[in-house]
Amino acid sequence: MPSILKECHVTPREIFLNRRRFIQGGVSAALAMTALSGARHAVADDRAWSGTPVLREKLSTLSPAWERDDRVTPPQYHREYANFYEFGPNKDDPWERAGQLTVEPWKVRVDGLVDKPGDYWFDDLIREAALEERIYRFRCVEAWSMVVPWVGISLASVIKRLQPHSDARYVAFETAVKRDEMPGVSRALVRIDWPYREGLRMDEALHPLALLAVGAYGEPLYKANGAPIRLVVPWKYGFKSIKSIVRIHFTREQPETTWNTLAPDEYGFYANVNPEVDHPRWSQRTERRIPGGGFLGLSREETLPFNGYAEQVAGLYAGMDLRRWY
Amino acid sequence: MQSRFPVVWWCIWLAAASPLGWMLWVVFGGAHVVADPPKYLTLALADAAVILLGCTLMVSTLRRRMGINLIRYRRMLGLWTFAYATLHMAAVLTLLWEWQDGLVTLSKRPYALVGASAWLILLLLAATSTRRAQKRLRRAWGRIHAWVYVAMVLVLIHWFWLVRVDYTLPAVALLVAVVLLAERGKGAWRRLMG
Ligand code: HEM
Repeated sequence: MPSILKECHVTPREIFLNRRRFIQGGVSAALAMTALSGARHAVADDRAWSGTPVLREKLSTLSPAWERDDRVTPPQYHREYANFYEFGPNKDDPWERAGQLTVEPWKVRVDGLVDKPGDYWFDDLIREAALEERIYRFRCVEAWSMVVPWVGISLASVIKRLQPHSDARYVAFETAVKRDEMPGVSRALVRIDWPYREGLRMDEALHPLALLAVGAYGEPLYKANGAPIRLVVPWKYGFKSIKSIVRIHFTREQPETTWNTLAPDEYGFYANVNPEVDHPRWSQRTERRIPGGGFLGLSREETLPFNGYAEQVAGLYAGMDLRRWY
Repeated sequence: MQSRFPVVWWCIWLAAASPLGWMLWVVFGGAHVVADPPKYLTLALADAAVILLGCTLMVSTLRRRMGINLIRYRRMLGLWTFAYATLHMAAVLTLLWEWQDGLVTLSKRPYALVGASAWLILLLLAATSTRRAQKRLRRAWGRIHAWVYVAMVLVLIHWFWLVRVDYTLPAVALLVAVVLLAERGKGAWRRLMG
């Protein structure tokens, strides 16, 4: 599949040198600095994904509004700054390393308590559904945030088509694990038990705001952002919005999810954005809007309950103690 | 001292200063995309601080084991360590966290208090790093400066405490620290205990 040349790639632009690579030179890093900064490797263009014919066709009928919205984070920040531990622990690892990920053909396994289990090709999942642009705030649990114009299909429409059983109370998701293409997966001393897993309560998954994204900024998703298909749950911290999904599983029990298992006191299963509940290691009251707001990123924004979507989603949690079920 | 090998002195000074220059260039130079400057500066300054702490500790090892004598540059390396540690702390309290309640936040986070303890030790060492202090404190000076090992251990605790997923870098630092301590053997302990 030929990849599209993006304007931002054609323009020669030095990309912010990763601090890890700067450290990897070890003690001599400082001395080797000049040499290092010159040694930036050429940018391969397989970072973009051109999309399947079905997706391209659908995208061509969409008229994106994001370019007229000045709150939207410029696309390069969204692409180059992401957590995607399958490619490494640093924010620019996905951008630097996800190019080698093969996203076609892509199959999603659907199993568990559902009437239509099976392996679904990417195109079969999206063919029937209506593609929409949704400009959402995206709030990371690490207290930074962006505004992203996703393109996707409503999760509810997919779930309804798959026909879960009435006793399926949760939906669980898994990210692909491709050892040959994902250098972060085989790193030693990394505590994640692959595959990366996330999950939602059924009523959350059926909420109209929950999106299965296949694109952003009017284009197919970049690999660093979880191509070809990822979840976007705008009222929850970003780690809930699992990338590069290969499995959708319907269960009766609350599924085990990666961060919740790793540090249950820091990352709840619900992980609803909540300025009242601090992360044990930092406050969640405000956020740093990417790209660095103002001088040195000093201007911060208030974090809103449910990331500003309280009106739409607070009802899902009526009667729940949000301090306990963080 | 510094006049005997001014070229070497300046080379080391520049090497120690260059991470700071690099960070300023990255953030203000305009050629780079820095999505989150507070985070970038916090981590890059911390990394520079631990690397320089390692270099400072390595000086006596190099002399003992390999006959390379850089002892006359050790104070400079130590002061740069202190500078980076101070800037790291300042970046956390003013940029990364909301500056209004940085100190309140600090008091609530034990891993940060461990970092702060390490910084206090480095402050003490920096304050007593002058030749005059050395003369005045005489034997006590060696004992005070052996606290650098305590600072090192605190920094490692600080780091392991805040990592959640990838232990590669702190593990490398731990390995270096273990090697350095093993090389010193009982000497370090004896100096510390006076
Ligand atoms: C009051 C003092 C200090 C505070 C409040 C503090 C706070 C922090 C915070 C919040 C982080 C994590 C940043 C993040 O991951 O978002 C951090 C990382 C770190 N700190 Fe400190 N720190 C202090 C002192 C020190 C000192 C004195 C040193 C060493 C000389 C140090 C070394 C480190 C290292 C090595 C890291 C990890 C950097 C990385 O992940 O690459 N800290 N510190």
